Amino acid sequence: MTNAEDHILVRRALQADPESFGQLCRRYYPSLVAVADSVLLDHHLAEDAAQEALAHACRQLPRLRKPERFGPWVAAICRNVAKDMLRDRHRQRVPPEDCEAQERDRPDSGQTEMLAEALHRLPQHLREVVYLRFYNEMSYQQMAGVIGASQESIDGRLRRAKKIIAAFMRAKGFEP
Amino acid sequence: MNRKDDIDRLDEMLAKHLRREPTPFDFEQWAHRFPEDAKLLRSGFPRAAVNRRTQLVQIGRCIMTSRYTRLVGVAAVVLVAISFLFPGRNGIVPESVAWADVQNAVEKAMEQTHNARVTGTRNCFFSKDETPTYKLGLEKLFSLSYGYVDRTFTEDGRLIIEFAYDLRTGTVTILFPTYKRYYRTQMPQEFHEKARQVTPEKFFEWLFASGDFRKIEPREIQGVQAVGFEVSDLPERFTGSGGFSRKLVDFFLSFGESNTRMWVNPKTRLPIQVEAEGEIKPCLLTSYQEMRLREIDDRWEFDVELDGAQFLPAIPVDYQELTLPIALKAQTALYAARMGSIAPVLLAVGCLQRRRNRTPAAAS
Repeated sequence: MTNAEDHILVRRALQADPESFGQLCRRYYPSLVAVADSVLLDHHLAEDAAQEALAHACRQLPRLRKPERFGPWVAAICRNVAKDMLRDRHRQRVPPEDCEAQERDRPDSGQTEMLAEALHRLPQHLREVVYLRFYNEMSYQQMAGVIGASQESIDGRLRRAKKIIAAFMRAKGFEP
Repeated sequence: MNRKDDIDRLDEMLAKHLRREPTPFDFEQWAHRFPEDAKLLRSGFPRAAVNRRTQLVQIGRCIMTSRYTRLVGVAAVVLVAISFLFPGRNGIVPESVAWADVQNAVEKAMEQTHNARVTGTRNCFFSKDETPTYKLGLEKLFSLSYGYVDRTFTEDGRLIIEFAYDLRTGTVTILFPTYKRYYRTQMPQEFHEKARQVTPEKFFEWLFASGDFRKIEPREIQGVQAVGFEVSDLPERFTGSGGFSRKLVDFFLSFGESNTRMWVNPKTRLPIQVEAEGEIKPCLLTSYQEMRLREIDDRWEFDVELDGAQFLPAIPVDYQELTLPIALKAQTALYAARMGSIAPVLLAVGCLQRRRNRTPAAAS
């Protein structure tokens, strides 16, 4: 995954080549689902948000000033779409039943629930880094292509997130 | 068990908890779900723009060839012009977002938990160079129940300064983890009482609408065609209404020209990005050097759960108290609280600068 390729694909997509946009979608869709899931904490809704974000990105594509930064740009759109969906869900007061169902299925549910709570309490920008890293086992380089930050910064965020999670679990009597 | 083992186990747990098979993307299905966007892709974007222009020309022709449609057309133009001049909540263009809409939206967004979290970057320039001398990360927590926290991080995520104002007790705490130092003081009662009565709506009104502000051209921010508001005298509002001695203010932190822009999502009326840029004249907190500060707050989360303990942080046992002359203590606390997000970063930069200045001398 290189920025130069993104740049070329964006240019082709603007010249009536839908397949190029399709390639960009396939490239970033898993990361977008992870980004949206870190906001919504619901995998199915996250898939919806990622698809919606790609539709937004498609409409806004001619306005993208730096095509080589398509990844961070579409991730920012996805974050906003997910936040809008979360607000709508809060207004409708829909409980995140999907997550609860998933937790119940696991054998070591006490520890898993604690981990889920620790993740839920993380600041969103740290939770996003954790999700990107562990969702699809992304490398720092791939994460940098989505977040638009340096690999050092991503490493720092990830370490901070893990420190917070470990401290929370210790405070609740679980050794990580 | 050692720390590395702990981290390895945590990695395993996180992988087990979060790992998912990569979701394949079906472009055909997506195109079926968003037919208009797929059509846009197939037709090519430039052609779509031409089509819109052609349609407008055709509508214009239609209006000008009929007396009735000409009158209706003129009325429509007048209505659009009025909607620009007198923007309202249900405007048809992004420009119709009024400042009061933003205030209301923020108030509403925080009505459940009364909390908000903002993250972004702070760049400090000690030369004319476009590359910042210090690139810092930031995190701000606002809570109507607990107070305000401002954290500044180095680029690799190390916390270098934490400012916390606890609204329940009126305590101001500043932690300097790099130097293992802290400063803690009580806010004067009068200021504390005023602070307890601030609502997000009042804060936003004071921040932008208490003086001159202007709307600026919409710009694409984070994929949204955002509406912008700009003020150029924000530091003056901090110092002007605070009743502080000008000499004291200039001694600590001397502001030059500044510019603050807030970008708002026209759909939600909520801020999505705030950009602030300003000159700081030589003063104590910049180690008597000129500095330019550029801050971008680009992630706004409203109604988040926040732990109240963060606002009155425990002082680690190995930290030493930072002593200030008694006469300056109260004013410093008051001033730091007034300056909100700006004071902590300058304190941090001051520390970094002093450290940098000291290093060559120590070496020689």
